[in-house]
Amino acid sequence: MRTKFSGFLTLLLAFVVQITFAQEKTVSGTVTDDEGLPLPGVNILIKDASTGTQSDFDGNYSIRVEEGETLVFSYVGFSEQEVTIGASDSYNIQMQSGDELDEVVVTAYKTTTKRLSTQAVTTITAETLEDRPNASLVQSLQGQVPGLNISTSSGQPGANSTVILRGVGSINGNIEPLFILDGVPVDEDNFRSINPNDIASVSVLKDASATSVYGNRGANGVIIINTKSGKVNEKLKFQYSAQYGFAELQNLNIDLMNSREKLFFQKSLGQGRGANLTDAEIESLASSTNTYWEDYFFRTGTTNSQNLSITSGSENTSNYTSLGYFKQEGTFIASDLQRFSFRNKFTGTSDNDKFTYTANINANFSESNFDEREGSRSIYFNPYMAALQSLPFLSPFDADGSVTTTGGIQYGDLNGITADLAPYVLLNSASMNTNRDEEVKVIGSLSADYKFADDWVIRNTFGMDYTSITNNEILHPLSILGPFQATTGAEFGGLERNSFQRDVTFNNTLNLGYSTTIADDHSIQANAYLEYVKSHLWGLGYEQRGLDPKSLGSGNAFVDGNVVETINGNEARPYIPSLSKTNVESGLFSYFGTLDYDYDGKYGIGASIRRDASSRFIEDYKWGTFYSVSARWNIDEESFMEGSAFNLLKLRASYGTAGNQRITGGRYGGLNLYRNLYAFGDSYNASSAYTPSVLANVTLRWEETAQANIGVDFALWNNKLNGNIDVYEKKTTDLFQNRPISLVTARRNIRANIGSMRNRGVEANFNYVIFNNEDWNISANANASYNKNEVLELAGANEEGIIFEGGASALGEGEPVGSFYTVEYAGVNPANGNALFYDADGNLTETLRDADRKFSDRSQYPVWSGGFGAQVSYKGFYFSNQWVWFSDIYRNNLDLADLESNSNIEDRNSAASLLNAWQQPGDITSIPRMNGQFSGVDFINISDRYIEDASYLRLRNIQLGYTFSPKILENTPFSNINIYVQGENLLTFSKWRGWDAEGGFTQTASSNYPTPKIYTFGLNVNL
Amino acid sequence: MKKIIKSLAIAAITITALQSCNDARDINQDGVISDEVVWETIEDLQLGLNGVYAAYTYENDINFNAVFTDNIKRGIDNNGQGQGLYNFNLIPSTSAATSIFAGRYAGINYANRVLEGVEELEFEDEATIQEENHIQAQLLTLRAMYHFDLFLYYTEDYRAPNSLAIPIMDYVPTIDAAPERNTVAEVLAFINQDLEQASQLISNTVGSNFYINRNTIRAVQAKVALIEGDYPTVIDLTDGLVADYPLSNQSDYVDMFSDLIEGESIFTLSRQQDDSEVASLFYFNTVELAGNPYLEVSNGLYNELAPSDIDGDLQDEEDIRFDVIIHPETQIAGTDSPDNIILLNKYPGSQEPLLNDIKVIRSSEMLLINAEAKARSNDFAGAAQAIKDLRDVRFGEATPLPTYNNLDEALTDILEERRKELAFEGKRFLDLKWIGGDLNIGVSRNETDCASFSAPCGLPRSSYRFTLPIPQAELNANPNITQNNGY
Repeated sequence: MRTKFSGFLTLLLAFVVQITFAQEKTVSGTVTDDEGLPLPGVNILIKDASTGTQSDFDGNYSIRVEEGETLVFSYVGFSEQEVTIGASDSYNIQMQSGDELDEVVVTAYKTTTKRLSTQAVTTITAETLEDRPNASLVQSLQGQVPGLNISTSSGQPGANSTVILRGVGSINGNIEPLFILDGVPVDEDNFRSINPNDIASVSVLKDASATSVYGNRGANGVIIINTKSGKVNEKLKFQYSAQYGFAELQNLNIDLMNSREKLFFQKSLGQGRGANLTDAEIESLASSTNTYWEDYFFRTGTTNSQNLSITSGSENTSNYTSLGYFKQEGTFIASDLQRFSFRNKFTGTSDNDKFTYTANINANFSESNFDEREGSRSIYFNPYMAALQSLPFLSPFDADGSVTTTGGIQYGDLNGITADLAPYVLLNSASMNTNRDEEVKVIGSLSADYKFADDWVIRNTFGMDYTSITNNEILHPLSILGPFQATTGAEFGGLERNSFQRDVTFNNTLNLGYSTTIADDHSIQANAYLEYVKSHLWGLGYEQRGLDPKSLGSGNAFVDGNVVETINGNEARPYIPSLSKTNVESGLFSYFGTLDYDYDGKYGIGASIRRDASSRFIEDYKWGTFYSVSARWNIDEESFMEGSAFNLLKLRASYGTAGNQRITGGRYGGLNLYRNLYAFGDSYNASSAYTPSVLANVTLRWEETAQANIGVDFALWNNKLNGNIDVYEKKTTDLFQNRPISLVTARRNIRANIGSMRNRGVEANFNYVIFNNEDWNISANANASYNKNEVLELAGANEEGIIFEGGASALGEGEPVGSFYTVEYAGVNPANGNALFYDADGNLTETLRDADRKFSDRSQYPVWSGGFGAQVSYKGFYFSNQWVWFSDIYRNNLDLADLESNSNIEDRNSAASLLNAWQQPGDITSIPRMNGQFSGVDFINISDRYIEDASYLRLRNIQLGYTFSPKILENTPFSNINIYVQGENLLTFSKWRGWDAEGGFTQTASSNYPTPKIYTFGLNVNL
Repeated sequence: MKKIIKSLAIAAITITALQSCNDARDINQDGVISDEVVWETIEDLQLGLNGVYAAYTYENDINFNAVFTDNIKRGIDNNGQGQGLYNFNLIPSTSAATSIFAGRYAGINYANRVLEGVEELEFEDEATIQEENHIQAQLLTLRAMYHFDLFLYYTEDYRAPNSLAIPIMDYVPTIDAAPERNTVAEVLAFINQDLEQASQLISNTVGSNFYINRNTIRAVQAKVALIEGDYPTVIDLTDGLVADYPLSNQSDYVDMFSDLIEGESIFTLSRQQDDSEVASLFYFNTVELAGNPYLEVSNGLYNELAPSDIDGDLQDEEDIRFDVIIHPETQIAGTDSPDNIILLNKYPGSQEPLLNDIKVIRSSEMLLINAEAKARSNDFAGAAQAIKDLRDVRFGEATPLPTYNNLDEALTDILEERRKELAFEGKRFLDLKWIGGDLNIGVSRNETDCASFSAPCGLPRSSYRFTLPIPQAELNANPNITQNNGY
C-alpha cells in the first residue's frame, strides 16, 4: 500500500504548480419577479464555477465574484438570466416568467446545475419540508421523490423510518441510504433530534455516477441534506415560526365484538366468563359495561413547535442562527418527544477572496418518553396489544368513576394477575413506570477552501456526529408488576435500568480541485480526494432489581446486592445488580477522484474512481475499487431543436459500482466476523465459562452493486411541464447471506458473500403549471416508481432454489426478497368446520405441512409507489395537498389473527367476524370452527390466511394558508406574514385491516404503535 | 518562497491524512478472546468445561417426552402452548425436531474445542496433570452422553448395527463440515471408547453430583450396554450403583425433588438463579393452582398413580410418587372428568418459584435397567424382585412380589413402573420407542386427555414419528445427511 500512497502523494504535489491572483469583490442586489415582488430562493451561480448562493426571504442576494465573470440567475418557472459583472457592485435582476429552469443540483462533494448534471438526482427544497408537523425530517420526504420509499412503523414522535431507494439491495446487510448532513455522514436511523426547519434542501442521489464516489457506503443511494445559511452584506433579519396542533389515532378498520356479543360468544363455546352467566346476567353486564379500550390507551396529543432564526452578513462574513423548540405528545398516553435545537452556520472569506471557511454547529437536546415493547408478544408489556384486544366487558373505571390504574388487582398478588386483566396491568404501568431517552446530539463541521492558484482549489472538511443517549427505565416497586421484579417472594421489588451510550463519528475529507475552460467551449473539472471516517461507540449500563419505593429515582433506592433472603426455604441473593459495557469502533479509509468534462453545454461526460479500505475485512479483501462513468447530451442545445417546444431535453446515461460494508445492517454490526472468537460469560452451576461466539469467515468482503441508468430530463412550453424519466438496473453481487451450516458447528448459519440480486425499475416525475396569471397559479405534480426485485442466486438453497428457515417467508431464486412462502388457505370444510388448505398438488387438505408451501408473488416490499399533489394559489391564499400511495405490498396480519384465534376466546376480545364461525355440518362460512386444531400463530407462520394487501392511498399532507401582501405590510416592521392550517394523514384508502396501513415495510403487523393523524395551525413572521 | 510554504503546507496536510489511515482500516477491538489465547492455563480448561455442562439443555427432552406422549393434558391457563406437538405435529423445521439435535451437537462442539486445548497444553506438576486428566474425563463423558442421547432420538433401529445412526463428531468442524451419519455399530463403539478412556482418567474422588464422576461414567456405560444387549455388564454395573446409591426413602425422595438433598440422584444438572426454569414448562408463574398452569398431568397418569389396594390388606397405600408428581391443590371432579385439574408437583420450585435442579440419572433408573436386563436374560424372578425392591421403598412397606411368566409380561410391567418412577424426567418417549418397540405399544392416551387438546388419542408404535426427523436446518446445510424414513 505504501507505494500506492507515495505515488498518489507525488501526484498531489505535482498539482501544486502555479499561483496567480485575481480581483474579487462582493456584488449584491435584489431579485424580483415580473411584477416587481421580491423573489426568494433564486439560485445564483457563477458561471463555470462550482460556487453559488440563493436570494433571501426579501429577494436580496450577495456573492463574491470576480470582474468579468458571469452570474446566472435561475428559478423554477422563470427564464434563466445571465449578467456579466462589470465595475458596479449592485445588480438588481427582474426575472421573466415562463422559461427554462436551471436549479442548483447538489451532488456528491460538489454542486452543479440541473442542465449540466449527468446524474440521476432529485432535489427537494425547504418549501416542501418546512412547516410540516413531523418530528423527523425523513417522514416529510415520503412520496416526494420517485423511487424513494419511506415507511414508518411507529407512531412514537420522532420514530425511525425505514428508507429504501430503488428497491432492497441486500438481504442481511444495510438497506438504507447513506445520509450526509452538511458534509458529515450521520446516523440514518436517528433524526428525532434534528430540526426540520433548518433544512434548506435534500438531494437524493440515485444512480451510480452520483453514488459511486461514496464507495462502499453508497450502494443503497445517498441522501444529502444541506442546511440554511446567511448571506454576505445582508442586514440583520429575524424569522419566527410557530405551530400548534393535535394528533389523534387513525381509525381501526376491524369490527371488534362488543360486550354482549363477546359474552354470548363465550357462552356458546362454554368458555370464559360468559359460560358461567345466565342470559339475563349477560344482558345486565353488557348494558353496564362495554369498553372500547383504545379510548383509554390513546389520547389526542398536542404538538407545539416554535422556531426563531436570525441571519446577518457583513462584507466578508455571513451567519445563520436558529433556535427551535418542539414538543409533540404521542397518541399513546405515555409517549412524547420534546426537543431543543440550536444551529449556527458561519461563513467567512478573506479580503482577497482566496480563502473561505464555513463553521457549522448544531446542538440538540431531546427527551423522549416511550414504550419500547411495541410489537412484543408479552401481553403484560405491550399496551398496543391491550388497547386492541382487551375484553369489552371489563370496566375501565374504579368505583369512584375515575379511570382505573389497578383494575382491583391486589398489590403483591402474583396470581391475581391473569391474562384477561392485562389492560389494567398496562394502564398501571403507563401511569407509574418510566422509560425515557435523553439525547444530546451535536453535529459540527469546519470546511475551508483555498484557491491557491488560478483554477486550483484545495479544500478540507472535518465533521463530527456526536450522539449520547441516556436511557432511564423504572418499573415502580409499587406498580402491579413491581413486586415480582427481583424474585417472587423477595421483600423488595421494582426494577431500574440505566444506560449511557456515546456514539461519535469523525470524518475528514481532503480535496484538491482543478477547474478550467479551454477555448470557451471545453470545460474541465478534476478533483482528487482523501477521506477518513472513524466511529466509536461506548456504552455503559446497569440493571438493579429491588428498589426502595420512597427513595426511587436516586441511587439510594437500590437494595444492596449482599442482602440474603430465605425464599421457598432456600437462601438467595435476589438483589445482585447486573452491569454491561460496550466498547467498539469501526473505520474506513478511502481515496478517490472525479473528472467532469463539458463541451459547450451540449455534451458532458463524468467519471469517478474510488478505493476503499474497511476495518471489517482482512487483508486480501480489505480494499475495494469502485468506479463510474456517465455522459449526457443536451439535445435542446442542438441547432435542429431551435424553435421546438423544449426548453430542456437532456439524455443521460451512467454505469458504475458501489459497495456495502455493513454486513449485518447496523453501523457497528459484524465487526469481527473474520476471526474465531470466544466469549466469557455466566455458566453452569453459578460459574463462568468460555464458549465460542464467532466462527471465522476469512473470505468476507463487500457486497457490490453495479447500476446502469438511462434518463431523460425535460422541460416544455416555457417550463410549464417539466420532469424526468429514468430506467435502471441494479445488480448486487457477493450478497451477505446467512449460508446454512451444519448444526455440528454449534451454529445454524454463517454470513458469507454468496449470491446475487437484481432490482429493475422505472421512475417518472412530472410537474405541470396548469394555469398561471396575475392572481391565479395552479400547478400539479406526480411521481411514480416501479421496482422489480429478484433474487438471482442464493447460497445454500435446496434443489428448488429456496432457503426456508421457518416463519412465513423464504428466499427463493427468481423471487423478490421478502416473499411470503406459505401454504394456500382454501377456506372452511363445511362438513367439519376445519380449515382447508391446498397441498403441493393442488388438492384440499386439513393438514399443514411445510412441503405444501409455495411462493405466491407477494412480498413485504412495494413494487409500485408514488405521490402526487396540487398547489393552487389565488392572490395571498394558497392551498396544497400531497398524496402518497404504495401498491403491490403485502403484510401478515397477526393482530387480526389474534382477534380471530382460539386463544383469545377466554381472556381477550375477538373480532366480530367470529360470530360467523362454523358451527354445524353444512355451514358455509369463511371462519373455521372455534377450537380447531390451528392457532392464529399457526396460520400466520404456515398459511397465507392472514397475508393481506397493504396497498394504500393516503392524503399525506393538506395545507391551506394566506400570505399577507407586501402592500399591507408596507408600514409595518414585518416583511412577511403567513398563516396556515394543515393536516397530516387525514385520509387513507386501504383494504388493510388494522389501525395503520403504513407499517414500516415489516413482514408481520404485531401490535405496533400506529402513526397518527396530525392537525396544526401555524404562523410565520419575517422581521 | 510563498510558493514553497504553500506546497509544504499542502504536503503536510496530505501526509497527516495518510498517516491516520491505518487507525481507520486496521482495528483490533478491545476485549475479544481469539482462539489463539483462549486455552492457556488449567483454569481456562475448567472454564471451557463449564460451558460444556451448560450446553446440556435437558429441558427440551423433558418437554418433548411429556407433550408428545401420554403424561400431560391441556392446563387451565393454556393459550395453545404445546398444542401442535400434542397433535403429533413433528415437522423437520419445528423447534421440537431441531432443539435436541442442535443443543447436543453444540455441547459436543464445545467439548471438542476444550479437548483440543487439553491436547495442546502440557503441564509439569503432577497435581495439575491430574486436574487436567479429570477435566478431560468429564469432557469425554459428556461427549459420550450427548452422542448417546442423539443416538436414542435419531436412530430408527438401535439393534441394526449397519443402519444409520448419527454423525460422530470427535473433532472441531470447520464451517464447511458436512458429516455423514455413522452406523449404529460405529456410534456405540465410539461412545464406549470415550467412556472407557474417561473411566481411566477420572479422579477417584466422587464430589457433587452436579459434576461427572466415576459413578456417572458407570451409569452411562450401563445404559449403553442395555441397548447393546450386553446384559451381564448391565447387571454388574447397576448392582454396584444401586449399592452405592441406595434408593431414597419416602421423605428423602420428597426432599430430593425439592433440591434439599442429593438423595439417590447419581447425576443432576444444576440450575441456579437466572438459569432456565424447568417448571416454566408447565406453569406461567408459580407451582400452584393460582400459578397459571398451562400443562397438567394427564388423567391417564393420575389414574395409574392414584391410591389403590395393592397388597390386599385394605389399608391405604402410600405411593410417595403420587405425592411427588401430583400437587396437593389438584382438584378431582370424578374419574376422567374433563373438569379435573391435575397439577404437576415434580418440580416444586426452590430459590425461585419455577426453578429446580434436573435429575438426569437416578439410582431407581439403574434398578429398573437392572430389572430389564434380568428379564431380557430370562431371569424373570430376578426382574420381579428388582421391581419389588423399588416399590417397597416407594410405598414405604413391603409390596407383593410380581410374577412374570414371559418377557412381554415383565417388560410391560417395567414400562409401567418406569412411567410412574420417571414421569416428567425426559424418558417417556424413549421408553415407548425402546421397550414399546418390543411390545408394539405406542402412545395411547386417555380420551379425556386427548379431548382437552382436540388431538388424536394415539400414535401406533409403527409410526415413523417414533424417530425424530433430521432437522431442516441440517438438511439445508449438509448434502451428506440422510433424512429418516417418513419425513
